[in-house]
Amino acid sequence: MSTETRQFGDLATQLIMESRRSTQTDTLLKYNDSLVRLLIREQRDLERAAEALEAGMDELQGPPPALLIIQTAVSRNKRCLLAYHSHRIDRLRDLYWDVGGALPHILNNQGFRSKFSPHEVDYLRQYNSSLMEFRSEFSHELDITASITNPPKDLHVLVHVVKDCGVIQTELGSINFQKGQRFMVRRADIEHLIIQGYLEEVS
Amino acid sequence: MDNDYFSIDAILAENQKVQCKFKQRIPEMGHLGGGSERDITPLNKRQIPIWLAYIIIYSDWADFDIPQPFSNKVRNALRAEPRSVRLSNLVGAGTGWYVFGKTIMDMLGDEQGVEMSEMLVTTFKGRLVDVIDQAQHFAALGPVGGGGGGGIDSAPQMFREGLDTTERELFVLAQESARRMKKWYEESSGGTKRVA
Repeated sequence: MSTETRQFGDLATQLIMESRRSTQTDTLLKYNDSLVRLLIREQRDLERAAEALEAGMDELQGPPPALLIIQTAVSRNKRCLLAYHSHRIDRLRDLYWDVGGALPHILNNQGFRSKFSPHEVDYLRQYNSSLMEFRSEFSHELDITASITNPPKDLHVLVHVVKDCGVIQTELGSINFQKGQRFMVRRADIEHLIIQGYLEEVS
Repeated sequence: MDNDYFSIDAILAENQKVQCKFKQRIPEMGHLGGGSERDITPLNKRQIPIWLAYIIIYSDWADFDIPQPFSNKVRNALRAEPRSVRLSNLVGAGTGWYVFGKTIMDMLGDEQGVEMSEMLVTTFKGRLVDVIDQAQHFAALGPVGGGGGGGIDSAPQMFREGLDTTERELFVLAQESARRMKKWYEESSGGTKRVA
């Protein structure tokens, strides 16, 4: 007990340093489940200590200083936990939009998937379905998941098939994309396949 | 730094320690700041991180001194020539001088707070022009850290090394921005169309 109370906020600082490292290297690190759990356990210990102090409190004198200090430590830990998770969620959302909302692309990629916690996967799924619902309301006029950094020069694009993707619906009907073939198709129809790497644009 | 609650930088800045001189006895908290007794007795001095120091100072259990990075000596040097001070040396690596200053300022009373605020703003304004100027100069030379420190002058180089983290971020942004503008001009269809 003496070593862990000696360092209020140390575990929390460790967690936040991970967030900073993540920003500095511009990568998403693996979810640090063990550190989070340690922190939560520290919170519970602090809570017990606080309750003990509160029980022994003299009503007229008010809370002992130790109690306020413990409460500050609890708030600090809470803030750090929230900031850590909030920071990760921001990165998850950026990742999602970078691939144009192609959720399977992210989730099937083991490299990414291994870094997420189960809750984060749930978050992505729910975010995706909310977004899809929203997007479908005006998908005839505008596709919000299409790229905005590279405006398309032409309505159609010549693509080369890198990986089999099977039968895809396009404006010309269904096309069976087989490896090695080339097609001239409407960009909007197959943009997502280019992003995921099935098709390659031929310039 | 809006919405400081979730800001990673703000959280880390609050880890900086300030020297607190206790006025009251605090039972059971002797372990704060590395002490070995069970209680804190009056006149004890401890280094306490700011996030914890807030409540201690607010409840008037201790007084704190203005930390060294904002001492009168530093203040005077800044007033004389803001660009001559190496802000990165004043605070440990990883925290900004400005960010730390802001957290201290939040704790001070009105009069001192205003003084502090003015010092921060004036310093920032005095240094900013040079930060951006150097950034644009470097944009022409290539990516950050690209060899040689850009010139024979060591004064600009010393200035760059002395930048605080906030200024460094601005530097990188300005540099990147200038680089992209240049690239855009050169890539514009035809290459000859230039808006003067």
